[in-house]
Amino acid sequence: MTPTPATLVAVGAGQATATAVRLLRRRGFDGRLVVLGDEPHAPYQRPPLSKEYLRGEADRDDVTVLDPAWCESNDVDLRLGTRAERISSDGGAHRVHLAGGEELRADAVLLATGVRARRLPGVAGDRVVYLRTVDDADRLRALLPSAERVAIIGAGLIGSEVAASARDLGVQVACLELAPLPLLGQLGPRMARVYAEMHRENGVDLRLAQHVEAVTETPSGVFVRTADGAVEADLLVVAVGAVPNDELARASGLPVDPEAGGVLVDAECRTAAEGVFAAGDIASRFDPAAGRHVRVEHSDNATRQGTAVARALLGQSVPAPEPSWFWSDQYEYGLQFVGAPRPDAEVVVRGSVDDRDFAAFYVADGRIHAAFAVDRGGDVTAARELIARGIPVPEAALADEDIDLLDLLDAVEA
Amino acid sequence: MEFHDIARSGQVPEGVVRRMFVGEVEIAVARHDGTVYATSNYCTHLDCLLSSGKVTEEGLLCSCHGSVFDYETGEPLSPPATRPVPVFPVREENGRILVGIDEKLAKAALQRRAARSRRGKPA
Repeated sequence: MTPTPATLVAVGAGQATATAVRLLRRRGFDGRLVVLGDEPHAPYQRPPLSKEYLRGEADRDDVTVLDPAWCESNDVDLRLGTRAERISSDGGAHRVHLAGGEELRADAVLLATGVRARRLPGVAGDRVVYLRTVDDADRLRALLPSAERVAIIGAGLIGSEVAASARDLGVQVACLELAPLPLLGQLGPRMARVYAEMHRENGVDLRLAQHVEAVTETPSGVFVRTADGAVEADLLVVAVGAVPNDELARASGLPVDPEAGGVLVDAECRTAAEGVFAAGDIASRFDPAAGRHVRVEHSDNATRQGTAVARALLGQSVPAPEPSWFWSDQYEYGLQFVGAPRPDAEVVVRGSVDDRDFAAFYVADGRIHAAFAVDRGGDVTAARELIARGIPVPEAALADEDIDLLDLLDAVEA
Repeated sequence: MEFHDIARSGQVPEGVVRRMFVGEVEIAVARHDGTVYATSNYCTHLDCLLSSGKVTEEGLLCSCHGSVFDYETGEPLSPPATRPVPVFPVREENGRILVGIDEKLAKAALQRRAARSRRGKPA
């Protein structure tokens, strides 16, 4: 077993780093901990930025994930507004090169540089917002309440959540999506239609299969022209996915995924360089069950991988990757998804789709591969375990509300 | 501090979390490794009911957004919650579960996120 490192430098100050650092100190790690964040703000959670924070229901304190006072009292050297450019390694000894020329020595490095919002070429301006950072959220939060109508390009999670928050604030919303249904690849056609209906019921002008051809700023707003129509709005939010911040990894000679981007790591979040780990949105982790590398842009993934890195550094066993899980709160609905989408799966519904109170299980070969739920967090928690353990499930039991899903787990354990 | 008899021991078996009341105060009562723990039933993230959650090795898991709270201290061990959930002292005597509440704890437990709660369905 390799000895516990004396110094860990974490590059990136988001969810993965915050989780790793907190867990290390909680478990008695007494080495030096340095956290580098390129933003000037105390490390924060991003999920609220399109929801509670955007609507003004949460403030900075609510979203802070690594409190500077906690860092101070736990001897964590939190350096904000600090950008790292490269890591050079000599065996297990590393130097992290900062933008100003300073070098930090480290025995272990955590790369958690995250992703950034993908930009549409030439689409920018005073009335155009890309939402990724808390500064972006502050800008949108200031602009949104005075807007009569907002246009959103992209009906993925960020686009949908901004749409829902804007509707909650009484703003008209037109949302343009390239695909024939929103979240189609994730939800499959049946549930993607339900998802689209939920937004339309809440007043979103959701336009599908839209190819954006031009965006122009007008004196009073923004004009978006598509192949077969146009939208005028006071404000435009562009939510068309994210791009991995893997430049530092590339500059450091670390292997990255040639197609999807992101730093390649093994099941324990180790990169090809000894003592250098990657976690969170940036990490393309080897999933033994899937037999390939998987990169996931969700908060829970960052938390789990941050935990994995902390455990590896402490010489403890690292749990195998779990089914990917995310939540999204939109309107009065709490949405959750767990697992990997599988196009050939049959959808088995528990509860009532019409009442927006259900869990949909994606079943193939007698097993659950994924679940999507509206206001049924408990069912998703059960599904997560059924998926993780590959437990065969009778479809009738999934649809039967009188059967406790956790009993399906117990039946196997007994 | 006054201790209130809220349940038979058998009502909270190993690995289970239940919803109980002392007056207006709503409590999540969980048993982990034989020991009974009591916290406010409202997750400090968005007011989901912790009694709809799950007893895990690490702590009490909120099934809305995955926050985990330490059984003994109520500290959030896993985000998105960032604030501790109020914890009540518990005694288990003669097959009964007793939960201690004073004015300060009751007040802390009755505090909610004012804006918009997202409560889970009662278990």
